Amino acid sequence: MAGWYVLDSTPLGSPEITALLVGIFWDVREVSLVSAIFAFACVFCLAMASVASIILRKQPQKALKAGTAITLTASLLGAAASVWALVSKFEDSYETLWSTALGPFTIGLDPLSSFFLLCVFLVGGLAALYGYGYVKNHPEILKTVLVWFPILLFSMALVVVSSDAMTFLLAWELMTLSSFLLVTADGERTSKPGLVYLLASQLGVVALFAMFAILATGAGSLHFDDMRSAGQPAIAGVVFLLGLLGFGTKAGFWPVHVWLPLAHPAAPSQVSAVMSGVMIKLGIYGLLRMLTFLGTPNYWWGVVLIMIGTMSGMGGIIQAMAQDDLKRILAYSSVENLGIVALGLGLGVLGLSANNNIVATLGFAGALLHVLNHGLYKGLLFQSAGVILGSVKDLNQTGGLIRQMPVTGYVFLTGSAAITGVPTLNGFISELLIFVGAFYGATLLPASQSLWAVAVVPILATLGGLTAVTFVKIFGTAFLGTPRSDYEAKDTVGTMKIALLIGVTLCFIIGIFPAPFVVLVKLGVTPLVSEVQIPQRFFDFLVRLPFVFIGLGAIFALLIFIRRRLLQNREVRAGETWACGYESVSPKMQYTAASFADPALSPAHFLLDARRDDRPAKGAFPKDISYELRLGDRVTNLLWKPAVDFILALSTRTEKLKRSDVRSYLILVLITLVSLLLWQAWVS
Amino acid sequence: MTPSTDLLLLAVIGLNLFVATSSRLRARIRACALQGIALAALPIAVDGANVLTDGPGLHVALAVIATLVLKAGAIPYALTRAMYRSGVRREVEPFVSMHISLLLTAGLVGLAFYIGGAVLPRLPGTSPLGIPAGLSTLLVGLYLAMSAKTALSQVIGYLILENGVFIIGQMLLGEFPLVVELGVLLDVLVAAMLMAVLVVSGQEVTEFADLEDSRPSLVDDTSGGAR
Repeated sequence: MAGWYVLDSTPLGSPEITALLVGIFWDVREVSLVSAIFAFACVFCLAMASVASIILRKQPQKALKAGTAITLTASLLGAAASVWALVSKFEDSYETLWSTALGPFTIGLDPLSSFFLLCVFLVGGLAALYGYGYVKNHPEILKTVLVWFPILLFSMALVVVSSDAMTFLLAWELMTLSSFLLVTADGERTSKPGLVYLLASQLGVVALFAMFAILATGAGSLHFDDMRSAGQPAIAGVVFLLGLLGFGTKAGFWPVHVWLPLAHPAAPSQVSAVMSGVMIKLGIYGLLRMLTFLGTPNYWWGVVLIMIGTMSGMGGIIQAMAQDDLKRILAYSSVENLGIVALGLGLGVLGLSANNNIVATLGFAGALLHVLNHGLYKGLLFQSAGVILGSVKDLNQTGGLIRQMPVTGYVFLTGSAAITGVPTLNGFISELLIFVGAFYGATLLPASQSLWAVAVVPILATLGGLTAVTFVKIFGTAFLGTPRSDYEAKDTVGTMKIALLIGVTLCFIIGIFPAPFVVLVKLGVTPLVSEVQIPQRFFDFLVRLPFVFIGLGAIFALLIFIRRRLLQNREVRAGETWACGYESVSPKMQYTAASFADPALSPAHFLLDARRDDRPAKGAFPKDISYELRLGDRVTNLLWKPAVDFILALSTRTEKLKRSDVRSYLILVLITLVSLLLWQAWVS
Repeated sequence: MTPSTDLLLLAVIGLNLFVATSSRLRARIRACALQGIALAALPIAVDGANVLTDGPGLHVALAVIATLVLKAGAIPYALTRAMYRSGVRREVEPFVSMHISLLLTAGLVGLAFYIGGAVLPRLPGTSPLGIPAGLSTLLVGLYLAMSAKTALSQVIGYLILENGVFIIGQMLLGEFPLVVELGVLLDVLVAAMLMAVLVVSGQEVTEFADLEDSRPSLVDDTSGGAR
């Protein structure tokens, strides 16, 4: 029985993969509890890193070393333990012996939380490694990061392992608070984005409180197991919408994404990486967790999710294409990627509502894998952006960076390729899962719902294309061509480099050997889908994918070899990029970021509130040519600004009310008291 | 329950009306002290004199003594001293004339009787007057604090409000937990002392004692330089 438990209980279909997965373990059944306890220990170890930093506060450099070492060890062991718990399908929860007014704190693991725990440890650990080098170069944020970064990781892990609403909400608030403090670490400049973020989060958490209140009333308990066994609540639709608002705010769904493009550029790079890579995904975790409480979903939930996914995807990527602040582009691209995740979720919900396990599994599994993948490559992108911004702030001033910072350049290229969904990289695999899910949905779902599944296909394809334009724009502007201004660019070194290279390796591993990871996410969706099912043919395809890639790589290598041979005895001239054969080239001749994106962007100007100011070339000897584009955000202008103005006006009125004396307060108290009592008397 | 409970509660209500209609501060303080005595006697009246010796006798005895010392002794004494030191003896030119005050407080008492019967649950065996009496004391206290023109009458209002809380607690729980009651008493004592000190300290006694004048200083930060 050596380790064949997994094979017995999950119809993997491919003995090779199973052997690959469990070969290193002996009997997973026995070690599952150990691994879960180990994972919990690692979660709390993350908090210890912060404590260590506080103890060593007199020697910041030592504190940095100790904190990073603890975080790294905990992340590494915790990632291993959570994979173990996931593979062994560990599912149990434990409560504290003491109790608060609302009951004891409960932590537990099931496959879904194990998978997200893996994401937290993986992305968090890489970010901590990168952060060690980053913080060394930015002493002004040292203290904040030392204390609050481990707390952020800890609270994220706690959100994932908490098994009752109270622990969950506490961890959720701790997560918001610690990330807020990290966003505002860099002084005055960052306080406004931080406040917007905090307000948006609080808005979301109000919806969550309402949602959990409804669920807890139905279940008679705050414990997640009770909520699940209580079955579908009476107003499941309302619960779903509340959860969508609350978790969607964290996940950055359009149109509640407003905090993302503000908070990410303000935060230190490794914090952006963690926030964008994992923290916003916990919104997805919350949505999935909520779905486990709601029984068989209604099919319109799936439709809502697909619509939100479409809006987030399109809105996010179009904004990303329009921006010229590197981190803001990446933030908007996170909105887009969460849109893709929402599309996957929508498919999964459609599958669940039609009781079709294949579509449900593929949709949810695609969403989960995209969560992990996006965490990895967005981590890479944010972290390499941090390296670039260390040398030059303005994207429009860059150019030709790949010669000065080759490592960062190729890392960024890998990240861009992964986010675009280029095969051999991980982004391709998760989008492929969603695509395949959509195709299966088109054929297997009832007619009215299959239409929505079909709609996912062109949307995903369009998003892929627009993402390509966006990242070609960034990469072309920053790394290719010639510099547009004078600056000293320094490539990444030390732990930052190691973290980036590990990230690149992981992206390639998932991209080339997808089958084990698909098995992992398949295990991860078991709490959601009664009988997980990935079509055999598709899984066989994934198993054989490495051979395809190896074959393609061989062909590519052969082509390079042939090219070398052909060029061997000839003169090869290298010139400036964009020179097009001209002799004297100036940096001004290059495409700028804005002009590159313009053709793809101009149909979407109505979304962007764009104001163009063109003076195109006229005549034989044109003078005075310019192109200026000012951008706003329609969502902000049309939806949020009036809302904020209204609230401000209301609070100004209240302020006037405040400018009175003690006596008026007492009158208000008396009137309130008497009317409440009268109301109560009238009711009873 | 004995008839004396009802008598005590009626006395409390009567004292409420008296405080609301008398303009002399000294009389108000005395009425307050009397109310304190009535409250101290309340546990004994509710459960009979043996409550001091049986079961948790020490608890009750301690609460009774503490109530007596603080509500009928220390606080009225402090307030009287503050009154003499500040020189404000009367509630001059009240916001609401005494007649209307009487009508309003009577209305509040009526309201308390209407609501008290309908809203709050009564412990079996306690007086039907209990909840209405407590509620009316609370409401009248709030009204007094609200309509007070001098700081001293405001303190008296708060004291009466607290008496209302005491009665309601007594009636709802049967036996007010000692720790809670002592805590409340201590709070009230500290508050009363603090206000008494504030009323008399400094040269601008009348300025502070007259609540109307204290208003600009609470909100206008610009006036600080001019003084």
